[in-house]
Amino acid sequence: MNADLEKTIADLGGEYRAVVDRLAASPTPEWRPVRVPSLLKCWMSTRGGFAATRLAAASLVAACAAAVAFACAKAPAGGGAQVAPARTAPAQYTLAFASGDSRAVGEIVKTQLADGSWGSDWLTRQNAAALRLADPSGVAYRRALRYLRAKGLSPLTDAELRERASMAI
Amino acid sequence: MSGEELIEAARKFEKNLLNFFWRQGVSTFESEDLVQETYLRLWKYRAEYKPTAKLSTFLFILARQVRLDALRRETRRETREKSWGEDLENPGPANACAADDARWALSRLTPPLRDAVELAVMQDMPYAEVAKILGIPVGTVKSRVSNALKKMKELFDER
Repeated sequence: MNADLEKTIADLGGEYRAVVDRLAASPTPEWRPVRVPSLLKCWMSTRGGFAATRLAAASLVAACAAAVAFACAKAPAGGGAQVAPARTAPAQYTLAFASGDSRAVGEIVKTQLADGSWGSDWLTRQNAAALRLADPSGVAYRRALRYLRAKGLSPLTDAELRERASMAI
Repeated sequence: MSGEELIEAARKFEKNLLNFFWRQGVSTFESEDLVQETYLRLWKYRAEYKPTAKLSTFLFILARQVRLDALRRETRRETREKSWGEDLENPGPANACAADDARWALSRLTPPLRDAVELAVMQDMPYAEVAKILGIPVGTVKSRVSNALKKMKELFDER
């Protein structure tokens, strides 16, 4: 008991010490330690194979679509203009996050691979940046943390989080 | 102090934070979420922490903001009022638990008195630190603690 509280009790009367003791003796919930800050360590560890397969399939579809689109594209008028180099299409969840959809945070978590990346350096940087800027009070974010805790999975370590943050564009 | 060192130093307050939220009528599960949010917010605002200040003061300021934000969210949604809204706003006999004196008594205090008792008595913080966290004068902290203890004594006597 600190000196300030001791003085208050002395001013109020000795019987108030029992009140403070009774408060102090009340039970409290058991704390289940978790790593903090719990930024998103691959809860896909048990589903890593599935995630990789899904990512590979998505990449294949995206590549085919890009090839078809490129083949069907008409040359610009004038013919001499350079066609801008095609940029790798960002994953849907990255775009969704950019548009402010908080559900995308959950999608980013879901698609993280067991090694902590998202399959490519570019996507890893994008998603790490997105998570770093995500509102930790968001529903999807909290669900992701809850999922990690329920599954007993390790979240990102502080060092990893820092590394990701420094990687962000 | 780096962000990592700050988080590590703050980890010793995990249990304090959990109890802080839990005694406000929040479920254990929700309390754990709010502790997580507090640490995430600490990480987010780590640049604003001045090493000359007490870390617990900074941490509990964030914790109060987290709790208020959560309350606002819950109020807006109006879907989960019973999980803790009733505990805080309309404490009734149904929420009382015989083995849980502190939580029961705290739920019957007004929010300003509850905050003062939680920090000064349950967290055993000096009044000066409580004053910084709550943004009020030290004298006000003292009077709130006194009033709260009087009220709680009445509650315990009636029980």
